[in-house]
Amino acid sequence: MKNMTQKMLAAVLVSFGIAGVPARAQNVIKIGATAPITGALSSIYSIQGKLWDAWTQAQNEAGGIYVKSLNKKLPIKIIYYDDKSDPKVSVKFYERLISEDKVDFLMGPPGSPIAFAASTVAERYKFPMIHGAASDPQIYSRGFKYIQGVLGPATDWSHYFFEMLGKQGKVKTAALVVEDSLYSRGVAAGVRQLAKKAGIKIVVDQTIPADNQDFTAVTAQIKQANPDLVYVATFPPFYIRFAKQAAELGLKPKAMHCSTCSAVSVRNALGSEAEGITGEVFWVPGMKLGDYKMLERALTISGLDPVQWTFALISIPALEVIRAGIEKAGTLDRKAVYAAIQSNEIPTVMGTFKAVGKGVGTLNPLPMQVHDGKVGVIYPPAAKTADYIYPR
Amino acid sequence: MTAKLTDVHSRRFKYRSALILLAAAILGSAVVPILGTSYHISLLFFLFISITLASTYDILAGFTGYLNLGHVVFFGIGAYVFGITMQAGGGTALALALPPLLTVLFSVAIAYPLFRLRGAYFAIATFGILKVMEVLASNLRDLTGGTTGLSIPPTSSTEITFYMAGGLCFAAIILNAWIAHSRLGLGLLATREDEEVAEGSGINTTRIKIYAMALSAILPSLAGATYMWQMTYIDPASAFGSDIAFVPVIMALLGGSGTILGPVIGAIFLTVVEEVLWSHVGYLQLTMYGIVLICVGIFMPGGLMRSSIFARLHARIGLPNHYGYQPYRLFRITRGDSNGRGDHQ
Repeated sequence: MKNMTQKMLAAVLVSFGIAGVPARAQNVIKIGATAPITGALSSIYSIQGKLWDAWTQAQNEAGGIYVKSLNKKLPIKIIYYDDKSDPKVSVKFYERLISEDKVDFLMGPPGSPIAFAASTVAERYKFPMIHGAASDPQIYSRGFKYIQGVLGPATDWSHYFFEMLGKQGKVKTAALVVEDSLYSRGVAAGVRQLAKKAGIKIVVDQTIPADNQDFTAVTAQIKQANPDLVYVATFPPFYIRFAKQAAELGLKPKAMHCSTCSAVSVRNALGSEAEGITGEVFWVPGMKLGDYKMLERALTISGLDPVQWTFALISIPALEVIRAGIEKAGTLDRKAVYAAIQSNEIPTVMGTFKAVGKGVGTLNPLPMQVHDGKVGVIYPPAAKTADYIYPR
Repeated sequence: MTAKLTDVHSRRFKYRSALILLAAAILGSAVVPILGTSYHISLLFFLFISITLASTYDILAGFTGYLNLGHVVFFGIGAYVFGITMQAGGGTALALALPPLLTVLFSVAIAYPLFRLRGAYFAIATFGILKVMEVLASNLRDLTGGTTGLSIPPTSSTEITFYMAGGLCFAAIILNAWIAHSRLGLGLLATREDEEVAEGSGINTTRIKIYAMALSAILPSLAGATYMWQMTYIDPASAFGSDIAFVPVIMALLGGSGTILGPVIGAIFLTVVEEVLWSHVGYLQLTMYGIVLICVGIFMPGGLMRSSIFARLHARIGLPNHYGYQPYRLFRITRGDSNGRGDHQ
């Protein structure tokens, strides 16, 4: 009899455990990510965490994100770790974010090589990951179903710049210098096509190791070809070395473009030599697209100068896409949110995002030019904050 | 006679203790995929890889005093061979069989010219080999993917790679212990103490150094293959970069080069410190990491294993102290060479 009672009690407890205990009410939306706060990519992403903290505060000041199924707004919390610009560290922390921190959504790490490795975790656990600064086509060519980038492919990086040059018709020849890295090679592949489309002939095309220190030979080759435009597909440290040597050797093209040269490190290192160079940027003050007031508030809270940290800003559209996905799905169910992200056009501070298949988005950086040490967007007309000066 | 019997009994007891400890560690690791989370699996996976690299690095450095700064070249070759074979549709079995074969051939091929050098020259030359491999991996684009890297489809489960990494880690520890007890180990130690005298005593020092180099290449190559299988992506910097090159060296020196458990303790210590700093400290992690390393270097110059606490444990579990070190007190700075060897009396 006693045994029977025990069995019944156990059965009641088990059934209560399965069905009877109400689920703990969710009171915060947790978003997880890693960022290269230290290491090789820290020159453009070291303040990433500070920006995320500030955007979280700005979003929570507005009450958080509305979840229809709960009929209330929930505050957000971004849990992030420093991946040291190391793919394996990033992988380890994404495992932690999923299994220990139990985040609701994942944002991909900035930087293509890191995103390449980290995205395997998302795919393995079927856990959607929204990527900000990761645009190399290889990331999205593996048939992964659980990664979605907000950017267009790296081959479209300078799409607007060449569209502008094509319309103006002043630049006829270009030299292409490519840093041998995942991102830069992707950008260069696009430049070759975009230049052709814009009627620009590439007269020099050189890919150079990322740690190269001596640019004498390539500079001499460019001087001899005398192109209107020198386009350098690279990260800032490589460009700084190249630009300094090129200036010393007397290379002064009518236009100089560097794909990541809106970064503050370039302007600080080159001083007056940076005047008139063009590059790509994601957002500058004065651009009034999407929920720009939230971004301005976040920048005020953080005290960060957006023109100093142009590349870290690309994570903001990724957050806006997650926010819109939750609002449109009306639930925190990951599957539903991911479906909403992939099937809706979402306005962001950098333009309208749309998933166009295979994990690729539609946002492209905008061309900028340095005037008096400041960065101004020069194209397209809807986002323009300054005029393009040619020759520089 | 009685004293001898007591010694034999005592040694048997100590070896039994060591075996029990090893079995407990293997069993404890084996249940992690069942009881732990994916994060624990991932954390231990990378720890196993680190221990494998540090322990095998110490086969050459610890026994012979030759600092192979290019030790991770075997890891990198293993990763690339695995990736290339998988991409070519060779299958997992072949992709796992090729790395040790090729790295042993490679290690023997480079060993002959390298062992004509000694001291700092040997260390620099091995580092040069690593840089050559990095350049080759960056430029043989059709084979390696160049700086863009090489990728393979992701695995559905991390358990196979976890157990493989665990197996390699324990194999590396056992290999070190075996060498310490073998004639090869004695020959290597004699070479370390005085190469000319060892030659004069009939030891073919070149041959045993090549054996040691080849032995130290097998497990890292498999670790590289396992890493590639788990990560599904490798690029020249991850395989042959300077950052990764010094990790096993630092782990072995920090733990205590020339002791069986030194590289293991060094790897665990660095992993734990990194994990705590990177997970719980928002800023200045690198600075704090550096301070920890400096403190260990100043206060425990022979490595953690030669601090009195660890040395006692080492002796207690019956692992041989194959350099005849006298354990010295914690925080006592003694004279010693770059490996921490010297007058510890």
